[in-house]
Amino acid sequence: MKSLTTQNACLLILLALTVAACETSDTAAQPEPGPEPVDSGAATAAGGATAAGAGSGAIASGTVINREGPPVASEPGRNASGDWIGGPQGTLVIYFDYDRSSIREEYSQVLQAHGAWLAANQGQTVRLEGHADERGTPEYNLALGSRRANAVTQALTALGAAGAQLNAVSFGEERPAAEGADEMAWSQNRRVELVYETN
Amino acid sequence: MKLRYVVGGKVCPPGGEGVPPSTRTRRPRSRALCLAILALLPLAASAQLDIVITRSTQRAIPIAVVPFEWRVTLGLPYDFAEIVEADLERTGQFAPRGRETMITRPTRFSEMRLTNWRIMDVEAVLVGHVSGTEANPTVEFELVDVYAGESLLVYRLQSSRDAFRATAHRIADLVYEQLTGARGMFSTRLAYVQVTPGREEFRLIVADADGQNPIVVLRSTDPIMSPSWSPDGAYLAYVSFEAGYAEVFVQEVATGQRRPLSPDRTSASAPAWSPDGRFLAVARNVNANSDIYIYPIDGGSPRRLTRHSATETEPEFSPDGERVYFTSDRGIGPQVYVVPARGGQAQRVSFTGSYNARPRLQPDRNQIAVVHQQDGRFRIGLMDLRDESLRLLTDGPLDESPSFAPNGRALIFGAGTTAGRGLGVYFIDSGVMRLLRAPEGILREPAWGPYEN
Repeated sequence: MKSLTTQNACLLILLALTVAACETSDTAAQPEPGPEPVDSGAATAAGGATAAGAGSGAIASGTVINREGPPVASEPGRNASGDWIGGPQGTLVIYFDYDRSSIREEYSQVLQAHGAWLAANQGQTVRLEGHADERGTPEYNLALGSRRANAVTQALTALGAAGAQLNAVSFGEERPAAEGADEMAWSQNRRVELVYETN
Repeated sequence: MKLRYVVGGKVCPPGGEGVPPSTRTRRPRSRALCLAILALLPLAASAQLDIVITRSTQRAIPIAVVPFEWRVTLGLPYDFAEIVEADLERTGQFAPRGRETMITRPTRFSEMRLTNWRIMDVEAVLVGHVSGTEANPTVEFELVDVYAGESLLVYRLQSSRDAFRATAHRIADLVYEQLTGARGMFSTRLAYVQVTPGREEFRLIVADADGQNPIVVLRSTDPIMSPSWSPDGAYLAYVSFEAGYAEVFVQEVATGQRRPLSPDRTSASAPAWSPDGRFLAVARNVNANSDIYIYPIDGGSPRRLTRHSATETEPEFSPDGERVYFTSDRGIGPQVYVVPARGGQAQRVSFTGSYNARPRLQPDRNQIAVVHQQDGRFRIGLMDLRDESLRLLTDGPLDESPSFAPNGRALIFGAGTTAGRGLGVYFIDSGVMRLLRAPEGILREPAWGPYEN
């Protein structure tokens, strides 16, 4: 009770943010004002999540995870500042047919270039992120994204890349490139993104 | 109907749900308290879920829920009857008569003139009153069969100020059971994922069965998937991508304590609890081949249950824990299979159409809910395990993630309807479907929790 004034201040901030949230809720481009103070203060980093789980007594409600993992390239092949960090220039997203994980013929050239480049740059690693469109169950799509990432992994391995350079992960339907419930969006979401990692 | 007297002095669900989450945090400093409050900001923002009826009812029992008389000397009257009425009406199995049509407002059976109620054409009337102190009121109520002229249920519940809603849901449970023969599901909870606009944040939310009192139990900038309740309702297993890949975590709902299921942080998904709460079946991805594994909940090494080069995922234990149902696309398209939980030969279960996935067993019935796809439409279907017949419950086109209420009379699912996206609730006895929506973002991947009392 001795921190009553602080609590009042908190409530005021809370109110202010609520109002702010209401006012800006229509502008999608605007960053959400609410969570940011939370992130700076109560965030749990990727490694910290383990520690929290191990018994440091995570927060009762509203446990916060804000992953400060390796810099995620805003565009595949580039780091967050837009600098080119590896891989041959060219298409870095491979698209798939519905419910399929076989690589279409049109990608053979670009994959050859990537395979050869990786073979020549053994220190370079690449993350292969498999994705699915929203149709079908989320869990099945997670496996589908994994199969797609694996198909690209196998292709690159056959073209000269070493297994240790390739890190396949799946996001299923959780990270679509395009929002929308039509073939236009779906075709962009059935994909594997090659993300060259900074070492 | 036979006269049945049930007099109870039962205490309503412990204060767990009613305790403000901020008081449960362990942080001593005021700054930390401030952050805890800020962490709850979206809670206030998303508290009101929009509920839309997307399909009307067939036949409903006409009832009257009379406002309970407030005999507490202090405090604002709380409208228990309103919540009871809303619970019952939502199922589509009851047609409550409006209060304005009531000639009198009796508080017990002995005060009632049955002819007044027969004129209104109601079959059952719930009456009651609230007495004692506002902090710990006693709620007494009686359910009356108008045509038989007898009392079906007499009950007394002890409530407390922070558990009024819980008490009302409990009353609705008792009335529902008395009138339908099936145990009520109004006192249960839901877990689901809220994705904010732009997918900036993923929130794991726990709310009451009617969608009220949503509490954020986990928030992340990375995706959260597949929440699954432990059989005792104390824990949630779910998938989090916080490490950059899909990984299963187990979290205690009341405290927020969480840990990865696999000590070596293996990638896994689609967790499902064994009925005894000691194991989790998961889909584990090894070299891009997804198979079903059984993990002991208290650590220890996992056991591989399926061995197939196709995709095996979405496991679900049978109620006796002896079998595990799952999805596999080893044939043409995904279908439901079953395998003994100790290991053995898998057998195909679903045969109607080319796509049946994500099996969930209906409690107390030989039926499973599946996601069924035909002509590009994904709908929730109910498949009879004896004759393999399939009944489609929803229209789609993008429905997924079915999960049964513990009484098996309703199921919740991720609804992708033409009317909008949200959580669909389908009531099996009435055919009513409702849609729960958040003021912002998308609600998905619901899991209906077990009975809690």
